[in-house]
Amino acid sequence: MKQFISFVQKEFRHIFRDRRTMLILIGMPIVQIVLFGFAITTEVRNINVVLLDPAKDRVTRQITEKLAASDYFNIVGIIGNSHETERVLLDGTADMVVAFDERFDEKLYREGKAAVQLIVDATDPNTAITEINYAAQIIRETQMEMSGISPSGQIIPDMRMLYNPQMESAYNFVPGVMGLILMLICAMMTSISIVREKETGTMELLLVSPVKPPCIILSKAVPYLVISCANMITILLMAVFVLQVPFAGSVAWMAAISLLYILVCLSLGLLISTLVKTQVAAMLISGVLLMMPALLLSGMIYPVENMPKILESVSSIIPARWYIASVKKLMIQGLEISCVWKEFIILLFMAVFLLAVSIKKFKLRLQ
Amino acid sequence: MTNKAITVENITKRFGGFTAVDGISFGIERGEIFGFLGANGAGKTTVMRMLCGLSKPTSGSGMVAGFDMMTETESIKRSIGYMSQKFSLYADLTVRENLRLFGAIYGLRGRAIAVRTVKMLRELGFYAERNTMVKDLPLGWQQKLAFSTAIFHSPEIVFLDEPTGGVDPLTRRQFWELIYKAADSGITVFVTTHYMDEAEYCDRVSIMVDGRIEALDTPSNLKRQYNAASMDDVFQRLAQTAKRNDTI
Repeated sequence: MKQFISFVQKEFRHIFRDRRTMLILIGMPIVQIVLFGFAITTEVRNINVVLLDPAKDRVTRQITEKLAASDYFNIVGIIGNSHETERVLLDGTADMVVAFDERFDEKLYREGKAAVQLIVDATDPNTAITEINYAAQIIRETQMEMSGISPSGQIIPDMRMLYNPQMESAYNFVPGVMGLILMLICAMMTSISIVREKETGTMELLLVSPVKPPCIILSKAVPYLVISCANMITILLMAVFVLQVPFAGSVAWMAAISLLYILVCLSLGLLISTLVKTQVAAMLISGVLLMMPALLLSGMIYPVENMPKILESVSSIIPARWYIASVKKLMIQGLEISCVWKEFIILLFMAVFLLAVSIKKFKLRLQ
Repeated sequence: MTNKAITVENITKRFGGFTAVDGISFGIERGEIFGFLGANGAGKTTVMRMLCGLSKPTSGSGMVAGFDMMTETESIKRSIGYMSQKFSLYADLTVRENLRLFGAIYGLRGRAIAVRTVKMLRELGFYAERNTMVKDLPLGWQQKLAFSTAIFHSPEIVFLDEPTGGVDPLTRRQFWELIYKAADSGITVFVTTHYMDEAEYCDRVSIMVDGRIEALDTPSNLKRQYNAASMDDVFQRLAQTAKRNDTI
């Protein structure tokens, strides 16, 4: 036990004295959250809207008020007729023109439908789609609130965006960043720190000593486990208080599944360390074989559902995919643990498998 | 209890069809400085690993520090010290932290570690550097410190695997003074080296060729036996008989 404490102390010293490592460990989560949360955001704010409202009745006023009240739209002007539409879009006064039908209220009541046209500058199609979606959403909401007014015959297209009605991109990125950071710290850092001892020759010294190999390995894992937990708390606090992502689910279950994921990543790190001889190789393997797939195939950036079948199958062996999916469910959707049992079991299986393989490999190397 | 620190009877180690060590036998006295020579690939490292309890012989028997090589490797590990050819202390820990770590690894108590640290560093003249990071020390000092760390827990035997690689002659000289001092205090020293002048400093020397020990005696007897002027000549003559490739 005393040996073990000395070892853990030593590992912490290695980490604290290496300024580059410290920078990665502490700076990375903050930088990633800021980058993904603010800079690489796909959401659109401050959309300038010009209105064309010949009707000026109760319904159109209500929709206008709703638009103006949202964070996304600023009503910057009103035009009198449709010929001016192109002008305001071209000279940059408006990003979007909302054009209501004449006699909007009346049409809605009598004929069961009334048209509202959303005209946007689509030079950037992604932004344009986002803007249209926002506006359509708000119009639909207004209609819902005026229930009874909405005639039953009207077709409402199913474009509901569950759990993220404003399509806040941070909602999607927070679980992704957590999956990525934990993978980076646990797998990459653990493998590097074990391989470093092989490289410098100190591992030989430890193997000759009476210290048991599991003690060496465990003492390597403890500091990274502690740092991972600290990072997770940092990410969650930043997500909730800086990016205003709600934490809907159970904290305890989040912690449980995160620990399981951390275990998977630590065993991956251990496995890598048994396969390579140099720190550079360890870094490359964790970079190419772990980080890239975790970034591209885990569903963090591109939804798994939209991938070609073959990539979708590849993604199912990536631990990050299951972790990110379960965090989305547990944290953002606030679902019960019973809804993530599949992810839980898959991660558990991965942990057991990886741990068994890497311990076997590690023992073989000692022979 | 015999007065032998190491006795080895007919030890063989095979890796698949390759016989790395081919039935060697020898004995080393307590407090002796034993030079273990051989070209690369002769099987030196394999023998050393077996003696340190890192691998088990395929056949044969042996006792290291009074423990059975086949069954008591854990006890062997506790009674030996080891210093490898690669410099092997933690460069980003201070002198004192390194000693405390290795003291703890070998189960010394905190109080004993503190007392020994002060005594050892005073003797080495390093006391002023006790809180210096090891990487900031000159190479020669690092080497001496590595040796002192290897015998910090007062082992029965200390294994030195090419300890003076890349060190200047003066520091090598000082290093050997430390080895003599350790041997005087009763620690058995098992050393491999490529420097034949160092072989002359040993009490007895063995020369391995192709997995077998071809010669084992005091340096002066060996020189007489092979009618050679120096240990280097003796070594050259024996190494030439090797059939194995150097790269094995």
